[in-house]
Amino acid sequence: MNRAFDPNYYLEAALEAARRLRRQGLRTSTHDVITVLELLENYMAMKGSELTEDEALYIFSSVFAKTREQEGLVTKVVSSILRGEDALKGLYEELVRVVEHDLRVLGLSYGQRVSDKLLRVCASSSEKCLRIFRLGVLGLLRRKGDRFYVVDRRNAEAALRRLSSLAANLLEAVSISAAKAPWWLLRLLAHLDPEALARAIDLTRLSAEQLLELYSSASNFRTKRYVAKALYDKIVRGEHMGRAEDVYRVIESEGLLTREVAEHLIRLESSVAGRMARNRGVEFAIEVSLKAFKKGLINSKQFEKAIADIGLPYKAAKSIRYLAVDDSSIDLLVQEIANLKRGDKIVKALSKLYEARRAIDRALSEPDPGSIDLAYYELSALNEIINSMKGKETGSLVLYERIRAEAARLRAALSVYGEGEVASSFRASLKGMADSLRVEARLPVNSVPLRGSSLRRLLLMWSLGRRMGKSISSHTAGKRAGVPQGRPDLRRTIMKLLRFAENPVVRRKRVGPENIVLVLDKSASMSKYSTMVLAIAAGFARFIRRLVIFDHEAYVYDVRGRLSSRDALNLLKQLYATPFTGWTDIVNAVNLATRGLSPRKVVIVSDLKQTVKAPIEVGDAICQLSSLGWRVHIMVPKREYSADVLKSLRICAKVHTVEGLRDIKRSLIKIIG
Amino acid sequence: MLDQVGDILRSMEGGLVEGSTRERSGDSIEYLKKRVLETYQHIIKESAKPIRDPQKIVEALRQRYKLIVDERKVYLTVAAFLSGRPVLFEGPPGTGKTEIGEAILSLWAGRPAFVITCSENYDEYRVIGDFHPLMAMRYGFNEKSFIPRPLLAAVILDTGVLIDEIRRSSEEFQNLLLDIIDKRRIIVPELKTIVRAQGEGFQVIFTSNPDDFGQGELSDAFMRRVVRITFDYPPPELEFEIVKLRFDINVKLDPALVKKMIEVVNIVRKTSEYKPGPADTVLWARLAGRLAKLRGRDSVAVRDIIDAAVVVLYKRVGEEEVVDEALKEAFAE
Repeated sequence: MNRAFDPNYYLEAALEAARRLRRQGLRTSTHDVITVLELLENYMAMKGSELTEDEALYIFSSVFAKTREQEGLVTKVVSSILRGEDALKGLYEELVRVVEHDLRVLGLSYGQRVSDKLLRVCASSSEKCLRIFRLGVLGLLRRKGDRFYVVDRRNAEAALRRLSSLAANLLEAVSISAAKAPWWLLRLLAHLDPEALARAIDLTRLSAEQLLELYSSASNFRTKRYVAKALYDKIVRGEHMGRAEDVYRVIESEGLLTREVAEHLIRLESSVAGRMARNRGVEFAIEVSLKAFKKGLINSKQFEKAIADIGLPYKAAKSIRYLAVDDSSIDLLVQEIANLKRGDKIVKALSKLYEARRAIDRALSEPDPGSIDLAYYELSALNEIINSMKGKETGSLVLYERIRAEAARLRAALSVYGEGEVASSFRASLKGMADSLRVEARLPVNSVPLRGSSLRRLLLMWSLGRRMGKSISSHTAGKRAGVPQGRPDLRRTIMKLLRFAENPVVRRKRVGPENIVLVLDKSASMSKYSTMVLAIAAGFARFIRRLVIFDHEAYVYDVRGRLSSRDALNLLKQLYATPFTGWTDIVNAVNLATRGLSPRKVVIVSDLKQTVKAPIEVGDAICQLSSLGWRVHIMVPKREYSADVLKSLRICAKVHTVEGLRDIKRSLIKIIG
Repeated sequence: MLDQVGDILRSMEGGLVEGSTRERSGDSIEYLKKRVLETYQHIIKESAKPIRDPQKIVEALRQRYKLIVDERKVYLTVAAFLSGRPVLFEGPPGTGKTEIGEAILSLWAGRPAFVITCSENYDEYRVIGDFHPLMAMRYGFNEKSFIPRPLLAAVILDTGVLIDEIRRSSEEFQNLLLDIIDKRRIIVPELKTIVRAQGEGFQVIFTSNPDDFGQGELSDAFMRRVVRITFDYPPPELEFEIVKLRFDINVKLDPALVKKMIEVVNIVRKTSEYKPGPADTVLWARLAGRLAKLRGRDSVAVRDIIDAAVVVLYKRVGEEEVVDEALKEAFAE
């Protein structure tokens, strides 16, 4: 059927399609309707000829169907709408003709009562029954008390006109009637054979409630089976939305229950799980519930209810999710858990595993001290339970082994909790650096292998730096619990003693590694070692108190507090784009580096070639620092190693000659550790 | 650069102390346009007359790009362009989504289209633009140090953008794109500039394959804005046509052999996890042709086809047997 573009017709069709599809569960909007109209108009304008039905369907489907699965439904609905209008042309005349023929065959006329004898005919699938049914569907039978009458001509004509003016086909009228008068229509339908039923009505148009009504009214087992199959199809299509328990009863009694359908029913009503456990066994019910939970069909509350209905400890069953490596291992675990008794120790371990897992999830997503402490606490409680079960009867060896492995995994996850986010952002940052290098940087490392190796070095140094920071923090933190160390705080000690405390209170030392002053040489002579300088900077990034970058001028940056990971990474990224140019003035840089700070470690990364005239020698400047209490570390590229210069320096500073990554790593450990 | 180090440190909690001043220059859009023209000269050089008649696009696809495309797809794509809506090509791999999308965009705009292949960590800096660190150090954060990236360049040059594998990108990125496509303009807050699309050439096609591994979901908001066009494996006759059209090796390939190859591909599609697309069939035929040529023959023999199949169809460990069986079934005699 080709059709010229008639905006009103297509607007009606699109609105009707959107309405019907919404009823079927699709999220169609007014925006979609407008899009369809625009596309149809443009399509027609370009094509310059009439639009075929196929093309119209294609456009409707492109807009309304959001997934491949929805395409079939959209095509079906839209084609019924597009074809319906033509089919219904002259429907009124056709209806009048059919109704009058039916009345003639039944020996009835307008306004006459339908005899009881005639109604009883419907116990069989006779031709007459179908005609009575058709009159009922068309709204031409009215009920007064216990009796049925054919409406008078005027009402009949009005009803038929109303029906024919509806932009829908006969089946639509049936479903409208079915929705209005379920009690008698469905009971009438229930007496039909499956074949007659199929001819009379499209069961896919009926709701689950109507199908259930039909099923319960049907006396013929074949009809029951046919209706149950329709119900099953409805579930598979995802159109079923209510009365899950009743639906389950029907599906189960007809032997049509599959795992897919069971999951769907549990999703609608979790109490179905209990019934399933009674009919099919606990294992089946747990397995289906778990799969539904894993797929995200049901939330944890629904799952909890389902498990409670099955009659199992909820947390124990839920923790299977964490133990199962894949779907096949779920079967084994379900079997194990179904055989457990309530008093078994392993049930307690499973519950604790669940709690520990939740605490760790929370600690990893919101890493504040409270949540991390709680995670550690739960994990240690779990370990205690596991240790107490060692070598004893646990109830299930398989579960015991799995829990142990999971506990170890969780501990590992928790111990690196801080690194996950930082590492990924660092990786992303490194990628950015690689791009910058390739396109922009004027560094002497723009060949691919060199870039790769330099990035690898940076990454390694970064992780090394972090790990060291962590080990030091945990080392110092460990001392909190033992004997107090440090300078006694007399005021607080006395106050505490007054309260009968035992130990003096000490001033707490800041937890964590010492911050350093990092002095980086970016003069032209160091350009060969730019990557090395950056690798060193990456390693020290977490510990910087003051950063000095110098050539013949020195730039000093103070950091109060510790650099956050993001700041450190940004800093590194910027350093990476630093041009290594200019003369060298180490003496000035060293003076500026130490000004206004109390003595601590200072790390100088330079080739120590002073090219600007200075009031004193480099060696003297450094020795002065040392005499003021600064602990000076100098990192010199191995190739720039000059015995004469360094000989004097060795007395006042620790000199590290570095070339490769291994050297840098070794020096870093020596300096920070 | 050192100013930037200062900026970073200053922006930190309790950070420090060094100063820098930035200069802002005049008409930033004009300057941006100049930068884009400098950077993407090749796009301008390869400009041609735009083709916007769907029938002509279909012909051009066949003749210039050797692509056989369903007419309805082209009509609907152009209709969507005219309605100002982006298009989403969805379907299994190897069905030509990317190639067709790029070709349609290029023909529509008359300039080569930009292709952005998505990954999880894509953000506005990758597609709109970012600052060159060295230039920023010298000139500050302004249009002089700004590097325009493909999406911004496409808006300015009035050409199309193909955003490949959109399901691999993050939701944030998808939302960013939607805003730009909806309003046909890009805001660059750093430059306090709004760049608007001037002509009709700037159109967007997304591609996605929901059945592939590691794919994300597309939000309702996203799906509502795009016109979704599905691609599927072609029927055998059409696939035969495609292979015939794209087989460009100077040796004879017997049509009966091609039909058998298509038969094999269809069996593998049904039975194996890796589903070869028409692109694989074409590659298979080409490889077989090359092998025949290397072996000094002027026509492709069954042996060449079987040898090439190993390269093209053995994609998953454990599925070799499926392929072998299909080959045996088709080429038994």
